[in-house]
Amino acid sequence: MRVVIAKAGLDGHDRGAKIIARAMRDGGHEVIYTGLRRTPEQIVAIARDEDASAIGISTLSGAHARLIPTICQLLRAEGMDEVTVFVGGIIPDIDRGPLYDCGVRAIFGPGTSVNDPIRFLENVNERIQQKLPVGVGQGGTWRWS
Amino acid sequence: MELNSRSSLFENAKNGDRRSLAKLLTRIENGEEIDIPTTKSAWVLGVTGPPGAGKSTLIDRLASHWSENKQRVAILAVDPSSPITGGALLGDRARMVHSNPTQVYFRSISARGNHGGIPNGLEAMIQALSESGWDRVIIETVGVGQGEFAVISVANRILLVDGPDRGDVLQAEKAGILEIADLIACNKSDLPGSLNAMKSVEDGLSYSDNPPPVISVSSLTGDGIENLVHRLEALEPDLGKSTARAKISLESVMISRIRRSPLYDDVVHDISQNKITSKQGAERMESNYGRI
Repeated sequence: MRVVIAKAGLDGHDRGAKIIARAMRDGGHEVIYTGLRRTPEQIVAIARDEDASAIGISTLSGAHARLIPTICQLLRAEGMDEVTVFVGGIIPDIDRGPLYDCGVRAIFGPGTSVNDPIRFLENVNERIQQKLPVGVGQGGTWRWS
Repeated sequence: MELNSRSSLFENAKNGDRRSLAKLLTRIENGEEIDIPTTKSAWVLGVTGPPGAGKSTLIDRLASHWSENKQRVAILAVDPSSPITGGALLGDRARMVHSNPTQVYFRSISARGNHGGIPNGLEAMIQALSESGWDRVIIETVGVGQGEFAVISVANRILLVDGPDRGDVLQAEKAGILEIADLIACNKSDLPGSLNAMKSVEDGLSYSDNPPPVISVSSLTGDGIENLVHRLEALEPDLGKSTARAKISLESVMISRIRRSPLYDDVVHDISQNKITSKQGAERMESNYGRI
């Protein structure tokens, strides 16, 4: 799978993003790391140009409630409904529902094993084979738990 | 928008739809034979050099310069894949801080186990970009071994990048890359010792026939970038180098074909068990050339 690991906004901490990127590489995926401080528009352009099947957004700054829904909306506006969006970092429980509502399929918090996001991608792959919804604009209520 | 048929993907890409372009490149990368017309000769710059020389950062400067001058720049960055899992961490994009990803087209390409070879369809990908109106196509590849260097032979203008703490560019001589390089950029001119490094590169080249010019740049401060841009724009494909380039790309294609041969693993096994000599192995593969 081609996966973009993205850092959005002014958040400058990317240790977690890099560890996840490496773990996904070891899981056999082609992982593209965006580098720090990308705008939502840039992240969507990167996913489009790289023809990525999934975008993982790492966020620790508290700006998730603004940045992530923007990315999801832009993806749909570009017609990239089939792209899977997942999130890792510090997301308080109270903020998770609205993120799932805007199309995020998985949220990985502190303490997550690196194997979990890889299993998530495997699950996404299986669902794609079965033509079940996994994308940001494909609807349905499926989410990783 | 029609994203399923090959011809509409190319038509859409020509009309400026980057999503179609991306999907087209994926198909080419996955091994589909797609007919791309040849109506113009592509401007293709290959950039290589040792790890840490600053290739990506320098390309970022070049892309940003051309993009600000309303030229359409596309970058294909080739990175190695893990021989064990087949996965790849494609990190060159993270160095792109000046050029804007909404303007510059950047595509990360995994070598997909094609060590010692040119990734699947790289030439067709360049063609597709050029035919869809990308004025300048830049290929980036790390220059650590002969195989990685070979990727660069698909370009018609070649820039070698070296840094003051390295001097590794002279290693390139062994891989035959100096024969095809048009220009050498000594990067990190902001660091102390860079003048000496540049001089040692020039000294090392003084024994070569017709050595490429060496210029000093700093991707960090932007010093020397204008000069580099002018030099690159003035470069015409050097026909004298086309033979050397053709040799490298042919040999590289042959190596990948040999490695993809259904006999390859068996022959390697027999040689490793001392059942046959390498020469006999080569002969067995040659007698099956039609099937390679």
